[in-house]
Amino acid sequence: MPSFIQSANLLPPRMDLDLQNALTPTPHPLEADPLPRSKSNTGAPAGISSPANRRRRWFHNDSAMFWLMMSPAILGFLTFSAGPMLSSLYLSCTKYDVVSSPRWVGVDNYLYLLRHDPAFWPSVKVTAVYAAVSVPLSLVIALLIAMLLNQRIFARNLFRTIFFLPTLLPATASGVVWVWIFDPTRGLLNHALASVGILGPAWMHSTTWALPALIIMSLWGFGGAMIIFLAGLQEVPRQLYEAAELDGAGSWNQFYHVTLPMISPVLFFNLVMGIIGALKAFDLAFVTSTAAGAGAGGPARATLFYTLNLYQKSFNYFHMGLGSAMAWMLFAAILLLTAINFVLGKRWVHTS
Amino acid sequence: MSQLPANNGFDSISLRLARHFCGACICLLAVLLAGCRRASAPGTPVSAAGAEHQVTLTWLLSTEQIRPQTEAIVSDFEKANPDIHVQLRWTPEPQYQTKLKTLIAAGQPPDLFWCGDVWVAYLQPFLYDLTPFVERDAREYHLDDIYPALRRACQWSGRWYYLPRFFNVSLLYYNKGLFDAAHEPYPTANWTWADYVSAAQTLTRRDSNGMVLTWGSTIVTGWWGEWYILVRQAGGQLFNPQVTSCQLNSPQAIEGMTRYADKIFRYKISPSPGYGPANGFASGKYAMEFGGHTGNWPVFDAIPGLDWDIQLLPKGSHGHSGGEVAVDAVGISSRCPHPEEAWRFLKFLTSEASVRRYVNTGLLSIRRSVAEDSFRHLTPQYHPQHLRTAYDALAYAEPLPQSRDFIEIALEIIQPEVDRVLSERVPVPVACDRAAEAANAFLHTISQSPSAANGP
Amino acid sequence: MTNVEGMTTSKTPVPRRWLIWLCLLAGSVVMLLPLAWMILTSLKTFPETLADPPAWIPAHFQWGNYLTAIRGFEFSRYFANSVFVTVACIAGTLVSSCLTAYALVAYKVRGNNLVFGLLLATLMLPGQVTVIPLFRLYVGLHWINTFRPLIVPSWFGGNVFAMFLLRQFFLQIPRDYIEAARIDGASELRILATIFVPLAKPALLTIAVFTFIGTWNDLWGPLIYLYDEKLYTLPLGLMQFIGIAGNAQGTPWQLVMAVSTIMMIPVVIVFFLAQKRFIEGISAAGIKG
Repeated sequence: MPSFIQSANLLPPRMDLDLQNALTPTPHPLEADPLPRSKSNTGAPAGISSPANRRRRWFHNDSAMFWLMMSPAILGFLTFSAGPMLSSLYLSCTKYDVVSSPRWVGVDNYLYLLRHDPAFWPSVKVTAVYAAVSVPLSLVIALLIAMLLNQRIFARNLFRTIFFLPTLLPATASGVVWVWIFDPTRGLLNHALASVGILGPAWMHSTTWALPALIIMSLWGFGGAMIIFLAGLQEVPRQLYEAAELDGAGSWNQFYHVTLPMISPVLFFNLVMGIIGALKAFDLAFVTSTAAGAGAGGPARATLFYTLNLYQKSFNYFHMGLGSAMAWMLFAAILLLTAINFVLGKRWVHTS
Repeated sequence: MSQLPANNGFDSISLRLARHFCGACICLLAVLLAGCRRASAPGTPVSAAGAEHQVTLTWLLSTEQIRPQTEAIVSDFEKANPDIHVQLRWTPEPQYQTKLKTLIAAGQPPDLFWCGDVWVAYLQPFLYDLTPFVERDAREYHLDDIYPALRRACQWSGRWYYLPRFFNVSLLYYNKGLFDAAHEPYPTANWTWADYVSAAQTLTRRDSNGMVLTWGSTIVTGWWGEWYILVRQAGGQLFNPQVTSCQLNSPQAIEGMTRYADKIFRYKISPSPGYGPANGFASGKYAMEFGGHTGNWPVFDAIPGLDWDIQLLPKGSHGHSGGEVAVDAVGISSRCPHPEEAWRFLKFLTSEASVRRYVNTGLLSIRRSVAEDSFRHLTPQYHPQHLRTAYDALAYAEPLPQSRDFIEIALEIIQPEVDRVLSERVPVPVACDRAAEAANAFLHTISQSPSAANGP
Repeated sequence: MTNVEGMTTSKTPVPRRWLIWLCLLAGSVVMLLPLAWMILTSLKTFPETLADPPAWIPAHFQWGNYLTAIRGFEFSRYFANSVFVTVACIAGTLVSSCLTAYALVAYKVRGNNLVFGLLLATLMLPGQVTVIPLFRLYVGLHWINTFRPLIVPSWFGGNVFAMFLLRQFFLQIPRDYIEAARIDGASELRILATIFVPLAKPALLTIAVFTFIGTWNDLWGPLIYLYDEKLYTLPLGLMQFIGIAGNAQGTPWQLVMAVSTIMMIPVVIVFFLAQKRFIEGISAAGIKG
């Protein structure tokens, strides 16, 4: 624990609120049991019993309450998620084209995708590159802007709304607008580049520049992560920064030793959601590559996101079995990456 | 040990909040339940409305410019057939296929649906075989009034599956204003590829900086629309007749594909993908359009000052053949409980009276009688003046191969190689070889034709 | 020098504040450019949208486009449908995510991590694959062509993102508060409602706003489950414009942009209002900082 956080305890309290728990780490609620509880039906902690407490014992049975409160979510999970997921797992081992009943083919679908399908590995590569570049970039931008917006400046509310505005646009409208902006001859971007003497590339029509174009478009939607960062930043106690300054920490040190640890749960959340979102990204690629006239996923599969490939195989060409297999492989990949994130997260996410 | 804020304040705040929270929840629940009841009222699927003996047909169709005419036709039909009610379900065109397929997958297909575009190859198993109806009613329906090419386009292996409303055929469009300005003679029916190229080169004008002011011809990129025609005009074929092997690397096919790429790189009469004016021929910056779509005619007419006309496509190595014809058609679902009534509606939809309505909005007629009539009503302001050419082109056009594999291979296997030719200047023979190889691999693995019994 | 909002005050030197302001201004311009394009296009005439090279500013502002757009399709009906579905989804999401997140945080029970992991896993499945099995399920329940497929899942923990976010926020609340409240005799629901909910107001607001945006702009769900035009929501209605000519060249882009702009306005207003409450929520709670 950095020294200036502990030294904050020596400051005279400025409020009546007890800051003890904000500054000293309390055990993770789910990792330690602060008070010994008996598993019996008396809800009161062992050793403290009174008639008043015994009256409320049924509300305090942890197990019962947990399952009761979780029951809607669990019911929803089984009906709307687990059931269909299992059904699609079954479909992934069949040849199913909606016309006739599914025909069992075992792992043939998976083998075909991994070995023979000319579109599978290119689409994996496109999605991987997209996720690897756009997620860190957008998180950095979101955090930077959130930190800027956390200052007291004129028209903060307005700026916050402006930066969040892009996420409010429906994908159909924003996709079309972006296609116009990235138009090689008439678009704003190439005009701007030309004014500083750079000949802009063919963007959505070039096999090398189509994916960078999509990445740039996706960065524009950092507003969601920014809002969450803002909420997290505002939870960071003022006193920590003041203590750090008193200790002689400059801006970077303050950021690295105060801000980052305190917002690490929120950063973790944004990272996990960002990666999952990038791997599942569909709307932007679909709308823009169709609107650009380069053919969906084109040109030459340069914007063929994994989910776009999945969609085409399932809904355009009726290879439902292949589509289900692709979905399950994606699911496994996301599970793996998220598990890795959680394991690594235990080391750098700082909980209070 | 922590302490909560002063207990009294805590209690009153908490009680108020709890009350507000519960109250809000109850209100919302009430709204929700009420809404569900209201919303579910029209929710019973495919309900029979009106009188007990009235049959309701559902027709899923995509929003279109001729919506008023379609609705007028439907209401005329219902007046003439009071025992049938046709329920129109409009869907945005880009989502039409998704909607249709989910309905079919859920076992709730609409009684009538659009069979117009290339995806009909996948819909054929869901279509009702109309052949008995057609043979029975051929005379009363004036079947032979419909152009033979269109009749063929509605049949699969000799069986009828849908009826056409109007059609599209590949044509050469030209901008008379640009031709006049350059003192170039208009295209004729005897033009060859060389004529076309040389005229386009003359009509491609650049300014002092080398930026193009007008292009000689459009080029269709991103799908097979144009290269497929050029391949066939050169005498090549994409597949053998049984669609079991890809022949894109035959010398004729390579020649056709080379002409396609040459338009951009060698003759420089067409822009690279993405570099042309946004709206194609409608922008007025292209002297000619190769292929085109008759559905664009109303769009061209809406542009003031665009004086345009049509001509047959320039001849390839094998005369005029190679163009494409496609019908906008409607078929009956194989699970329709009232095929007889649906057939009556189909006949009405494609009868002379209905076709007249389509022609009045600028679409092409499927019936010769109405077409001949439309020639007589041609005014000097009408575009295109060579209206007859559109019907003459039918003789040289072919529908797409009726195989699911065609679409998937053309779009997903061959198109990426063509994209590379245009975007990365990959040599055409190399691209054709790669494409043919990948297509043949596809045909041996996940081909969906009945002969392939294995594979995913 | 401190204030409850946890922001820097007079400590920020003036030149630095101006620099920040300029950066934000530059960023805003970049952010707003596509939107500006959208709004300006909505004020053009149809030939102007096709013009090449495209002009930014139309010759005459066609404010009438908005009226044409509204009258051109059943705008008020679609709007009402959108509002209804959105409000119902937000209510469902808030209620179920509060319950679920609280249960995950407050009870150390053996199934806790497993259930959390399973729920989280559903975030990772791409939507396209469950579409057909789900659709068949709804057909069996006779929910097709009603709003139920759009609304009911959110009442049953359908929005896992909300639950995840709320759980992270609840985790920041010291567990001792629960113990103290239990000792004081509060029931679980009361603890949830009176301690956790007020403290997590920023998170709840975020969830409400995100749910609002997601549901308001959702095209996929209504497209698949609704086929009665009377039930269409706004995005679906908007798509009708785009497909109206049957081909892209005939699309009246100025009307499409007009409707998109109109669709955006409630969302912008909601967000602008909500972000003020953000701050109020934090100062009212007053626990941290």
